[in-house]
Parts: sequence; structure tokens; C-alpha cells
Amino acid sequence: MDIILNNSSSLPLYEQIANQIKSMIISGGVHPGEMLPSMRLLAKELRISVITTKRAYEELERNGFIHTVVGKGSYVAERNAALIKEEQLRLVEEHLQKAVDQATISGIPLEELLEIITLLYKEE
Amino acid sequence: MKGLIIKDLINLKKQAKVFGFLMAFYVFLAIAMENAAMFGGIITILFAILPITALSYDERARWDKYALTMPISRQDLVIGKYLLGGIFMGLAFLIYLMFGLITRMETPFNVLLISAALMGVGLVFLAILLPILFKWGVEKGRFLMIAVLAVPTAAIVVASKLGITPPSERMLHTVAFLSPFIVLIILAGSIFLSVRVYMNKEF
Amino acid sequence: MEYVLKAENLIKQYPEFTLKEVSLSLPAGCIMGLIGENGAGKSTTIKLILGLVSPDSGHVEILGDENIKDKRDTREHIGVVLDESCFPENLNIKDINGIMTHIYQTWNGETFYGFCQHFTLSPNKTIKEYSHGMKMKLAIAVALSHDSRLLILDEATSGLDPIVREELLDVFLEFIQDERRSILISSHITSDLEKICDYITFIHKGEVLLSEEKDHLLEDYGLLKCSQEEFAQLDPQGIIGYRKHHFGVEALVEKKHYGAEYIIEKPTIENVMLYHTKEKVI
Repeated sequence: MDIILNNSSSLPLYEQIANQIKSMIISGGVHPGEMLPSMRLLAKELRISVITTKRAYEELERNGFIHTVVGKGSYVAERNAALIKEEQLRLVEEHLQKAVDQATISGIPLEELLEIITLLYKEE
Repeated sequence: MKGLIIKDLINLKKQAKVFGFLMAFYVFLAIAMENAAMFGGIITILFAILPITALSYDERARWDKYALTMPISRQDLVIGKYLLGGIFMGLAFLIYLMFGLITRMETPFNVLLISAALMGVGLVFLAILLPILFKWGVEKGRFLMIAVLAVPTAAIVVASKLGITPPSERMLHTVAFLSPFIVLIILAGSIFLSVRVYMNKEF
Repeated sequence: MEYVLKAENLIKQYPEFTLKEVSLSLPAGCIMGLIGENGAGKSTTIKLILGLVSPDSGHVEILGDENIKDKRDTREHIGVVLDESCFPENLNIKDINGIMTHIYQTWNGETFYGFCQHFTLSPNKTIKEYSHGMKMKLAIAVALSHDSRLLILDEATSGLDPIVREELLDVFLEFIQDERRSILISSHITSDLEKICDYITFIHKGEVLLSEEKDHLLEDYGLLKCSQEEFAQLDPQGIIGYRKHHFGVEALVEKKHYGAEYIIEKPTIENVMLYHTKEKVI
């Protein structure tokens, strides 16, 4: 399992971890029932606070991606179609936000942006 | 406490060679000059200084501060030095005893008496010095240490100059008989004082 | 939450320095960094925690024990490394092992020798012949060779080179894999603390200026950079400290007060520390 953190990103570390694990779960990089590395091991290897990894795991559990058994570890939850859809939507939104930001800075109005999106879709 | 005593003994081991050499030298000197008393006096001082040397090693290394973060009580740190004193004075006792019996410069009974007396003197010396050193440390207490040595010596010199007759043999024997108890009482008082000082010491 | 260490309202007065109402709480399984300039009161706080010095008021609870100065059993579970080596100079590693066996009930000679080997400490030299780095590693080896649940390090890594410090950080992180254990580490090398701490307590001139999760600290605060004119227009409420230079201003701010139009960088613990001690905007 690879987790790459960006210290200069505005996204908090725990979110970066949660997102990367989420992606792995959705893409099938880790399978349901598989045990994730312990929070402490993750913290140690990444040289970050254990509170951060705990928060990441708590977020993943809250969103139904993993479940944690006290004393044993954290396991990938069974695949949930709704959750997967939700995560995929989130990724799209993330990318679109970047487009919107760029459009705003460049002074491109909403209609023009929508046109561009429509064109790109038709090309796919 | 066992650990503390072992530490002091090992730490002082370095001195053992020099010590052994010094002792051999003084044994030789004493036999040559046929002066057992001098040997006795020197042995007493050499051995009595050992616990103080141990204290000074501790001070230099700032060991006490560190030791108190371990499961060691402040009492242990204090009593350990007294025990060390007891061990060394016991050694001095044995050494002088052997020396006296072998060289036969005095009667066996006298040898025993003198050995015991020397041990007593050494213990009293420590009993007076240790509370001072626990309170002020070896560096600062050095001056007082010299005073404790110098004052009785000067008093004896002055007394003999003034022509004050030395105590009779009978009185000496009475004192000798009582002395173990006197020494024990003085030691007990000293330990009590040292522990009190140490309990409130800040590091 | 289980706390390994709780210090409450410690006050200690010295002729030229006073420690005022210092409090900190260290949960189990966490590492707390104690930062502050030289003379801020870090060592005094640690001495108070260890019972080496008695507070004028306030109290300390370690592993549930409130009276560590007099009760020594708790100290079985505390590993301490001070900023200087306190070992008797004529001893070597074997001697130290022999002594510690009698001092600590849970002493593990195998673990100790293991660490000594890991740190490549020469078994034939006496303490007198050890370098500063070796003495520190030895002290750490001792601290980890009995059943320590709280490790306290007082400027223990300050005189060591970066390579050794990195080695030690790994050792500390390994120590904390057991979540009943905690570490309190005081240092002015904030970059080390940045890497491993969960909590940061900042002491300045005898007072605790802040004590919180490191993540919060680095997420809530930001380094704002702007021109002098822009600075004059900033809401002063969120400014912790600032530095004006020839080409602009750099200020430590609470991010929530300022929008995305400003350049706000993630701060380092050192930034947080330095700017807290600079003058505030009136």
C-alpha cells in the first residue's frame, strides 16, 4: 500500500490519507475484509502524528469504508455501491472545482464553461 | 541500595591500585620505623576518605539527580554512603588487626583495642562530615572537612604543649568499653541529620 | 482517555525566575513535545514532574500516582534521559548492567545489551571515554531497558548530529507502538518534534502559551505574507505576531480570520514559537 502525503497542500493530512485509502478501496487495490495497517504503524512509517492517522481512520469508518475492531485492527468494509458512487462523485466535483477556479480567475463566464464541458462530454 | 553500593565499589576500584601501593609503602615504613600507631592513623584516614571520594564522584557526575528518577529512595542514597563507610572502616579494622598481630609491635589485646578504636574514630569522623557534605556538597564542604580534621589535631597539640596530662590507662579502658555505644549513638544522630537534609534537598 | 501524566497549576518561584501555573496533560500512547527558548522553564517543569524539585503549589500525577517524590515504585515505570550524562565515570556498560539489575525490578539485560549493540556503544570503554553522543545513547538504552511506560527526555537530543537524532526518532516511534506508553520530550530542535509529536506545549518565560494537538496548531495557524499596506488593513484580531522587512510583512495568523485572497503558508512549529514571542499588533 502506498500513501503519498503532500505537506504543502492545503488539504489536511488526515484527509489526504482518507482519500487515498478510499480510492484504493474503490479501485479494488484493497479488498473487503482485508486488514489495513494499524494507525500506529502508519503514523510511525509516515512520520506523522498518530492522532492524524486515527482521524483518517475515523473518517473512513464514519463514511462506511472501513470498520475498526478495538484491540484487533481496521478492516475494509464490504463494497457498498452507494458509497462508491458517492466517492466517485466527490472526485469529479474536486476536478470540476479546479476548472471553476481557473475559469473565475480567467474571467470565463459560467455559460462558456458549460459549453466547454458539453463539448468534452460529446467527444468521450 | 545494593545497586548503589556496587556502583560505588566499582567506581572506586580505579583507586585500588594506588591504594594498594600506598598501603604497602606505609606497611614497610611502619615496620622500618617500628611505629604501629602511625600506620594505624594513616590507614584510618585513607579508608575513611573513600566514602567521601565516592560522594565526590557522584557530585561530579551529577548522579544523585539522575538516581532520584529511578526507584531509589532518598533515604537509600544517604544510608548507602554510611554503609560504605561501615564497610571500609571494617576493612581498616581487619587490616590493622592483621598488621598488628603479624608484626607484634603491641600485645594482641592492645592490637584489638587499637583496631577497634581506629574504626571508631573513622566512623565518628564520617559521622561528623557526612551531614555537612550532604548539605553543602563536597566542593563547598571541602573547607569544613579540613577544619574537622585540623581542630582535634590542633587541640591535641595544644593540650600536650600546655602540659595537660594524657588520660590514665584506666580511664582509657573505660572509654574504650563505652565507645561502641557512643559511636553508635553519634552515627545514628548523623544518619538522622543526613536523611533530614536530603529529604528536602532540591535538584 | 487515560492519562499517563497530568500536571496542574504548578508554581515554583526562584530568585530570578518564576514558573507560573504550568499545566499539561499527556494521554497514553502519545508524544508531547515541550518547546520554548532556553530558560523558558522546560527543565524546571520536568524537574517538578519528576519530584526532583517541589512546587510551591500545584500537583503532578504520573501513572495515577500523586506522590512521586516519596513513592518510588512508580519510578520503576519511568525512563528518564537528562541533558547531560549522569553516569559514574569509571563504569563501563557491563558495570552499568550489573548495577541496574539491582535497581530496577523489571530490568532486562538482554534488551539493554541489544540497544548497546544497536547504538554501537563500545563495551570496553568507560563512561569517561565516551563522547557526548555515546553517553546520550547509553542513557536512552538504560531508559528503554526496564518496563518504562513514560519516557521523559529533557533536551536529550540537543547535542547530537542529525543522523543520530533521526536514528533516535525511530527508536522513540517504536517505543510508542505500545499504546500504553507515552513520551514527553523537551527540545529546542523543533524540526525533530515536528516529525513525531502528537501534542505540543509551548512554555515561554515560565508560562504555558499553548498546549494543543500539533495538527491543530499547524492547521489553525498560517504564515501570511503581504505588503506593508495590505498588512495595515488586516483584521488585527487574528494576528499572533509579525515581522516587517524591507520588502513586505510576514505574520503568523489564525487562518480562520482571513480569506483565500492572501498568501497563507503552512507554518512550522518554529514559526509558531518565534511569532508568539514577538510583539503583537496593538
